[in-house]
Amino acid sequence: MQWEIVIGLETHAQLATRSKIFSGASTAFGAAPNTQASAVDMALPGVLPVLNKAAVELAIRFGLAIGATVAPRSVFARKNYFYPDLPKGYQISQYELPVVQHGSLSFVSPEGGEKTVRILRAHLEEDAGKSLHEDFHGMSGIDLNRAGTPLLEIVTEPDLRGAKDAVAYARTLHALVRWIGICDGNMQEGSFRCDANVSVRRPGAPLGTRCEIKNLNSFRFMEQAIDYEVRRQIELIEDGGTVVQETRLYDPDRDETRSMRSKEDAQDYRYFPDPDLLPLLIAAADIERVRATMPELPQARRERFQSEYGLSAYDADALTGARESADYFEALVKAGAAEPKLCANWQTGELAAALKRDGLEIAACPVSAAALGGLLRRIADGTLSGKMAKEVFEAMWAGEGAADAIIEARGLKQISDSGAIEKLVDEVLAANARSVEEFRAGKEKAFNSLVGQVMKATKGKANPAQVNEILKRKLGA
Amino acid sequence: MLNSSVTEIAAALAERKVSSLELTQLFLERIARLNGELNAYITVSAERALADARAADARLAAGERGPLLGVPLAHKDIFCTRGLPTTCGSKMLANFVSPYDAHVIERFARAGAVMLGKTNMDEFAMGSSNETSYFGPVRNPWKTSAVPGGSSGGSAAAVAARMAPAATGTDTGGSIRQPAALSGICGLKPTYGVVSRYGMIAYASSLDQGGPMGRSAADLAALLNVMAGPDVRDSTSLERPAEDYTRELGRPVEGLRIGLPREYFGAGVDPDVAARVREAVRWFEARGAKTVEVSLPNTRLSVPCYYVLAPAEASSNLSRFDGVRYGHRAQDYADLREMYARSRAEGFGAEVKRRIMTGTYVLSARLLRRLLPAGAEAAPPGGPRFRRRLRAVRPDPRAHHPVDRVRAGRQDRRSGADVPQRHLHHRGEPGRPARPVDPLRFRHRRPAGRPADRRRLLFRGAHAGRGARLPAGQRLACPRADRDAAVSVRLRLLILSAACAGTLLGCGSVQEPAREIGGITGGEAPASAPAASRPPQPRSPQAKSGAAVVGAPARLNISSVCNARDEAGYAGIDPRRWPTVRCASCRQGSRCPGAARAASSSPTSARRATRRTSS
Repeated sequence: MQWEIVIGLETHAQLATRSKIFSGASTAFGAAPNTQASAVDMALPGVLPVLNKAAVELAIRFGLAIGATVAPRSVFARKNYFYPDLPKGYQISQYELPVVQHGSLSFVSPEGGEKTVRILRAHLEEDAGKSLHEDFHGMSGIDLNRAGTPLLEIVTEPDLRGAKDAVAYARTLHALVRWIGICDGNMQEGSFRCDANVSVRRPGAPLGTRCEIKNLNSFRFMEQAIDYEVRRQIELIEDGGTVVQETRLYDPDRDETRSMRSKEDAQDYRYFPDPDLLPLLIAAADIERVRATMPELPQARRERFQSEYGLSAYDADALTGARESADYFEALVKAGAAEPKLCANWQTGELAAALKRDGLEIAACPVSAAALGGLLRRIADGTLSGKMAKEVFEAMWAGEGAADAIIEARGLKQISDSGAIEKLVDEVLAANARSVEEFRAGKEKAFNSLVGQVMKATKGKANPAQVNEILKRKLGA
Repeated sequence: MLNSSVTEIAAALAERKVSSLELTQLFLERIARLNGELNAYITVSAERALADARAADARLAAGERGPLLGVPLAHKDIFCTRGLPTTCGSKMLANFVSPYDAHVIERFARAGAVMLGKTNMDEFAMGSSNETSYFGPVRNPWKTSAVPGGSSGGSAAAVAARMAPAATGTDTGGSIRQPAALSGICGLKPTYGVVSRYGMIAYASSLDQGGPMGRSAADLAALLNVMAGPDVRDSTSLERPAEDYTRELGRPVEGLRIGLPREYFGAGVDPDVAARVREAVRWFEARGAKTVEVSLPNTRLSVPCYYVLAPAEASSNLSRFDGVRYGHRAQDYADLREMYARSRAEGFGAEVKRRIMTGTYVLSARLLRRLLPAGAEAAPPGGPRFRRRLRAVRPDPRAHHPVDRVRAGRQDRRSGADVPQRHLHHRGEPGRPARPVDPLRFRHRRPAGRPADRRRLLFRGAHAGRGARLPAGQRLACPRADRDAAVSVRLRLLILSAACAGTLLGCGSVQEPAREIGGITGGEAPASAPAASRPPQPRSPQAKSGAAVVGAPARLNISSVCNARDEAGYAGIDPRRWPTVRCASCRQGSRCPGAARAASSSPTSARRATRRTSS
């Protein structure tokens, strides 16, 4: 019997402001405990929140990027609950009127094709502090450095139909928030956190009872957790049970989700508009001002890469995974050294492999686009063979200088003098009569062996295309 | 000097007839003599006061002059003061020492005023008799068996007993106006947003407003000139040009129009009080003011609204007092939940608990759905109609209820004594600008009316009453054009808040305390009369005025918000100065290793400050 999986994601993206959403304390990560908590963050008696304009602008950027409505009027509300790392006893969030409403995001599904997820809302809120339960011998420490850090909570409609799609959406969203510069996307530091609402149903049936899974702090865990949860729910129902609405925590060590609290235990957060903050009014002019600073978005760029540079959808997608990557590619093409296709091959091939090997982001790439362009120019003009180019690239990566200097120093110039190559071919043909016989008998492999002999004789410097051509001519093929 | 007004004191200081130090010592001595009986001060900051006075004297010697330079003042213990205890009248904060100054405190410090100490109050400003204070009830200097009113009862008693020339208070549902009335002084609740709430411990954020308490309209104006003004740290503070509240003093009341809402003279008004209000009205009429009867039919909703809105906000505002970071923490508990429960059970008094429970209840999802019809936001009860009528403000005799006797030690007063004060707060008047009942859909609006009109009504009227033998004061209203009522004449609405009128008047009628208190002989003698009918009734100026235009909703326009530069460290105190975070489930207070560890990484000690300054 068929089951349909229904998933909605809630993502908390930490906004890349310098100061907190309601105070002037720094948001930098990793400071000594409680050194970046101001009177406001500590909720001293009498303090009041003041909204950080930068956080609002970043929320507007997001709204524009997903084609959403940026609410002309939104309202901050208090979500009331007690916890030691929630200093005020309430979190300032947005409830009935969020700042971003009704957008959508398209992503490339691993199962093929492009899919679109509706985004119900994105609202501004403040983060809580951290409770530190280790190191304190039966007590807990509270670090309020994170308290008041601005978050954008991004909530989708239940439009996703599988763990792989959920991950693909999350990756696309992750790339987008970094692309438009509103979030650094650092998942280890908690800058980008996802919760998943998962349910299953028979195709065409109404939505099943959902469970919320928390603690999905990597894409890998997200997929595993959703897969586990889907299996759990299906087995439960097939065994005659019913799914109970609850919050579950994913435990990556045991690869399972565990019940955290049921709906009956759910708190009544007693939301009400925060009287310390006025309604947030965003004028059309404010939105236009932000729009003017928006970069070309990933999807538009992906399409342009295909139409303008003739790239495949696959290459265009790979190159637009991050804004820096797409910028690198265009700089490479603009260097004018080689065809876009060659540029794309090198960036997604050698360059990407080297970056991955050394664990570097493209922004920290030791070989600039201009430098790589210098290398590609020598491939295009026939100076270097592919194999030689790889050697030069490694040398450039190691910091040995520009491509031309390395070619010079290592004597890596390709032999493209047809007279010299013909002479070599004649020698090889004379010395390998057997291979020649085999080729003439119809063995294609023998031809490759002959090419290899020529290349060997030139220590790989002969232009393989020329070698091929001359060989074929001589063999009368 | 003890009997001099702020204005007179400032003049004497300016002429160097007396030094600020001498004055300060004089008041400190008087406090030392009387505070045991009246309990008006929770903390007397003698050292700080003397230091302030010396500094003021130096500025005076250097030729500087200012309306409050060197003038001693007392502050309600709801305003945070750096280095001094700020208790809010609660055991919860009995040992709390603020690391920062409230906006109001900063302003007075800059103006060179001397801080005598922190005055007693109902716990977290919840009460109207000053009996809910953890530090014991305050007594009315006019008759020590009576309450001084509340919640700013300590300030009222201190001013009435000449233990300070003037003081600050805060008013949510009458907490300045009512004690001023019951203690025979003047008090003013400014329009919401005029005085920054930064550093003022919140009770009901959308209604709370700080204001001056003194012995004359002129003194209130002098204090308000210093307190008022926009503050980037309070998003609800009004942005508008500075005003000189003393400007209207001394101008005639002739031509002012005073609205008298019918509903304020209805059932439930003490006949004695109503009579005196009418007397006050006649006093104004005799001097050329016109009165117009108006109707505010939704007045009856004000009290129920107040008892939904204020506790709802209070329940949330008081959540921060959890014993985790500062304030009272129970000694003994098994787990986190019990730490919260015991700390709060021990730290809060009965009235505070009652309001937290009420507020938590009204905010609960189930109840809210029942209370609020769908679309409630669209039509706030009494919205436009109320606002129209409200362009006049009215005397409210119901605000003046007989003074209760002090019931020492009784902490569980019922809230009933608060009842009469609420109406205006829910509308566009001095209280918070228009508010629908719906606690889920509060809105902020700029108050209607032009400041100039308010100012004219308030201070001119009030000042005119100085010295007059008018009985109780009340809120007087000056109507303005009422389009829908098709009133042909443009009515200039004066809203003399009672206070205004009354206060002014009140000030006149009771120049001195009746009986001898601490060596000062009073002028007039209210001694044996029921306290209720005697003291003038300072009410807050409810100025809504003539060409008032109902304001557009206040905007938190993103181009005008304060932290516009997104610069770390821009607002707030240096975080390193307050590293006191204690462990959640620690039983050992400051000895807890968690706290110590947190502290060791920052320059100052994590130990929470517990010492009260000298008194």
